[in-house]
Amino acid sequence: METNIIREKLSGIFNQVFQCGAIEITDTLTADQVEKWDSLTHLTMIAEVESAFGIRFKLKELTGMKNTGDLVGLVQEKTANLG
Amino acid sequence: MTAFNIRVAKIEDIPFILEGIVDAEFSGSRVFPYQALFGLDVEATKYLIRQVFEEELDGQEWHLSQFRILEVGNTSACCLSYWTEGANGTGSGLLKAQALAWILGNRWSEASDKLNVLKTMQLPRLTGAMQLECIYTKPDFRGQGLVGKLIDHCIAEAKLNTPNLEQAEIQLLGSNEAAMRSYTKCGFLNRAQASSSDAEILNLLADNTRISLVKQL
Repeated sequence: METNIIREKLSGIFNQVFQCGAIEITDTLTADQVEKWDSLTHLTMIAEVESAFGIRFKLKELTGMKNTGDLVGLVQEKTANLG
Repeated sequence: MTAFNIRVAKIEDIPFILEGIVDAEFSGSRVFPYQALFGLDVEATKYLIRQVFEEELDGQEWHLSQFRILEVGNTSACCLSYWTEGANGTGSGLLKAQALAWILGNRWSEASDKLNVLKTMQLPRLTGAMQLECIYTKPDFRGQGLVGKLIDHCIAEAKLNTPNLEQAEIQLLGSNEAAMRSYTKCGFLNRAQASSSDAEILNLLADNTRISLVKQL
């Protein structure tokens, strides 16, 4: 799946979960930059991403994620593996 | 003074460590947070924590290599876990929550309302500070100053490995007065506290106030 499509979907999920309005999904975006992004909303966002893309993250992948760029990369890798 | 020995925890110590974690979760009350939040009894909670240990996640409290054991003779008397907050770029609260959510699945999602109540008394840990958690002394060994010896040893060890460490932090519930006295004797001072006015909190935790104690290193 192309990264622009992934970013567009993620933007919708972020808006819904973090109630942050339209947000640009840049590679360097982190929780510090979004007001309602805390440990609980983060986990809700992850569940929404898994559901929207039909994927399941491993725990090590989740804990290794440092920014939105990592998230986009993982989604791309996992959706590619879906065939 | 009682003779003692301090060492890194081994796999065989896990039952003792789990006993300590469960004791700390009760925090001197009859409220068991994992029962209240996820419907898990003590044994199911121990199994859950074992699963987190198996994932070997650095930077959060439930990692075997971060535990130190104080022994008196051949008996484990005290334990604690320590780490540097945010050393890998992610806070310990998020790491632990990710592990629990990943293992618990639907049980985690179903507890979201209660978890939001807990959030009302969240106290962010100091990034870059040494964190001490799961501090436990077996009842037979209490009142002998052993936990202070273990804390001092761990602080010295952490400073040796990370010379620029400036602070050590312990978080605990306000109702845990005995522990607070013990940590104050070790040089910890009250840094901050967070209280919740949500009545539901006392169904989930032993107290509605969380306190952060800090020691300058």
